Amino acid sequence: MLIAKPGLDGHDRGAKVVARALRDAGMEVEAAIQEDVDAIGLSSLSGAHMTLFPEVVRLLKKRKSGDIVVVGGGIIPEDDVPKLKRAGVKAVFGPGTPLSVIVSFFEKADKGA
Amino acid sequence: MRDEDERKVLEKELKRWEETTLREALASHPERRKEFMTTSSRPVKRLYTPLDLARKAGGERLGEPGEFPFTRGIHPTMYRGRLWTMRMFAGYGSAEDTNRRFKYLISHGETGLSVAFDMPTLYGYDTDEPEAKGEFGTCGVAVSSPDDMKILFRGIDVGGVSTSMTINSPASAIWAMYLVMAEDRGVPWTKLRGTIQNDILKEYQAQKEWIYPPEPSMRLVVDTFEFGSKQVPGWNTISISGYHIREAGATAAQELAFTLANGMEYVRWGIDRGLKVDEFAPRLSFFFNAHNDLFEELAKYRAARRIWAREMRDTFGAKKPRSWLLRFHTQTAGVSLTAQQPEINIVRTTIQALAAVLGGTQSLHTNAYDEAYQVPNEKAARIALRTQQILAHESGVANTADPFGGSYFLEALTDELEEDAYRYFDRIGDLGGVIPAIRKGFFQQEIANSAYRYQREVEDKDRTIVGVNDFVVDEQTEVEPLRVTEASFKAQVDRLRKLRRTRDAKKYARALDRLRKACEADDNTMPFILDAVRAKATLGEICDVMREVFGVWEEPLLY
Repeated sequence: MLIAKPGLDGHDRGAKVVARALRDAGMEVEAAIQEDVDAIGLSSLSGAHMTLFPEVVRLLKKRKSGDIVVVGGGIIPEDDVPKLKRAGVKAVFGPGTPLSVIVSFFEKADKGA
Repeated sequence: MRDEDERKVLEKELKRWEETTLREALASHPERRKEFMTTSSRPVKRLYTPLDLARKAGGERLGEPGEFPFTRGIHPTMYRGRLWTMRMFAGYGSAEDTNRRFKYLISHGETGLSVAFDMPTLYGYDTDEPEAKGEFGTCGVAVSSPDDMKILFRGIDVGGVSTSMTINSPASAIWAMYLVMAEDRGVPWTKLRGTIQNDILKEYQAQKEWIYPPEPSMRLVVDTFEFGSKQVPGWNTISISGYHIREAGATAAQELAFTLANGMEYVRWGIDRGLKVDEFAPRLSFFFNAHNDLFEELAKYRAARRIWAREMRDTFGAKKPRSWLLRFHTQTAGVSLTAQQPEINIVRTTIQALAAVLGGTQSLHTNAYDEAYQVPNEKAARIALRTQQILAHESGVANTADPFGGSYFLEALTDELEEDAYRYFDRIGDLGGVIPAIRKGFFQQEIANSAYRYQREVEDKDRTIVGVNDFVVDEQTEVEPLRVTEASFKAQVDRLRKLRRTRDAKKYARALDRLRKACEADDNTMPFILDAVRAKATLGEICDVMREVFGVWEEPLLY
C-alpha cells in the first residue's frame, strides 16, 4: 500500500493515522514512492483533489499500471465524489470514515490483486 | 501549621463524604463509565476540592488580572474595557474574491482582518508555476505579487484595521508586500497594526508547510524581529502557534508545551542576534486552539500565561512588564468539525469559542459549520461571526475577568498542565533543544501517537462523537458549495504575466541580485526584500532566490 499526499498540501494527520491503521492490520505500508504497490491512497485537504487525483490515475494508466487501485480521502465536497469515481478513483473516504472501513477496503483490494 | 491543620480537617471531611453519601449513591446508581477523561485523554476525578490546589498556591500562581503572572488575564479590566477582536480567517480564489469577502465580514461586524493564503502562496510559488497546479485559491487567496496585495486591501482602511496574515516560510516577502502596499497608499508604517504568523518551528513539527531548512528559516524570522522593532513598532512579527500542533493531533498539554518551547527558542535566537529581549519580546504573540473540552482548554490558556510570564521575567531577564505578557489569538478546532450533520458544528464552535473567551483571548476566529467540506460559504461564515457576537453581547461572560478563577477543578487542571509542560521542556532540553528534536522527529512522533490514540478511542467508542460514532442519521447533507472560478484563475495569471512584462527589467534584476548577496552574507534581509517588492518581483521569484541560497528542507519520515 502506498499512502501519499499529492500536490502541496501539508496536512498529514489523516494520512498518517490511516497508514498506521493499515500497518496495524498487517499490511505493508509505504509512505514514499516505491516500485510495486497494489493500491494507492491519496489524501488532500487543500481542495486540489479534482485536479490531482484524476492526474494520478491518468499517469498510472499511461505507465501501464492502471490495475493499481487508487482511492482518496480528505476535505472533499459530496458533489465531487461521483466525478472522482468517474475519473477512476475507486473510493472516497471523507471525514469521519471509520478506520475499519478503510482497512477492510484495502484488505479486499489486496486479495483482489 | 494552620495550613496543615486545615488540610487535615478537609481530608477528614472528604473521607466522611466518600464513606457515607457517595458510597450509598454509588451502590444504588453506579457511574456511567469506569473512567472519565478529557478530550486529550487526561483522567478527570469525580470531585475537586481545596486539597487539589498546589501547596504553593498564592500570589505568584494567580495574581490579579493585569498583574504578574497574569493567570487571570493580561488586562485589569479584561473585556469590560474592550472586547476581543473578532477576526475571521478568510481567503479563497483571487485577491478580488477575497477583498469582497473581507468587506462582507466587516459589514457584518468583524473587527479585525485575517488572511488565509492558498497552498502555492504558502509554499512560495506563483499561481502560474507548475507546482501550483490545481491549488489556485482553493484553501485561501493567491497572492503572487505586489499587485495582488494592492487589490486584496482595496477600499479597506489599513491604517485603522489590524491585519493578521497566516504566512510562514515566505512571511517576510508577504509582509514586505503589505508594507509596500501601505507605503504606496501613503499610510506610514508606524500606523500599521497586525501580525504575520512567521512561526516556522511549528511547520516542521505539525503543519508541514516549509521551504528552507531550520537555520536559515530562523535567521529570516529574527530579521523580521529586528526590522519590525525599529520600523513597524505596532506589528506582531510572529504568532507562535499551537493551533496547528493541536490540529495535527497533539493533546492540550503537548500544544501548550511545544508552543511555549518554540516561543523560548525564538527568544534565544533573538538574544543571540544581539537584540535586547525587551526590544522584541513585546511584539511576540501567540495563537492557540480551542477544542471541545471546555475546562481543559481554559486551563491551557491560563497555564500558558503563567509559564510565559515567569520564563520571560526569570529566565530571560525581561524587565518590561509588556515583555511578560502572553497575548494570544484563538481559533476554534477545525479538526472537531464533522462532515456528518454539519449544522451541529455550530454548537461545537460555540462551546469552543466560549472556552477561548473564558480563557481571556485577545482575538478569536470561529469556524463555519461547512468547513469539513470546503472553505466556508458566505452564510456559514456569517453565522460563525454571529456566534462571537452572541457570546460578547448576550451571554454575560464578558462582564467579569476570569469568571472561573478559583474553581478547584480549573485551578488543579491549570497546575497539572503547567507541570506537564515543564516535563516536556526537560525532554526537549535532553534532546538538545527544539531544532535537534525536530531533526530527530520527536515532536512529529509525539503528535502522531496522540492522533492515533484519539482515533482509536473514537473507533472503540471510548469516546463519543455525536453524529459520527453515535446518534447517526442517514441523510444527504446539504452544504451550499463555494467554488473558485476559472475566470478568477485566468485573471490572476493574466495579471501576473502583465506585471512580469511591464516592470523595469533592469531595476528588477538589480534588486534580486542584491537580495541574493544579502542572503549569502548575513545582512538583515528585510530591506532587500522590500526593494525587490518595490521592483515588482513576485513571491515565487523572491523565494526562488532564497531556495537557491538556503536550500530546501526534507523531513524525516515517520508515522
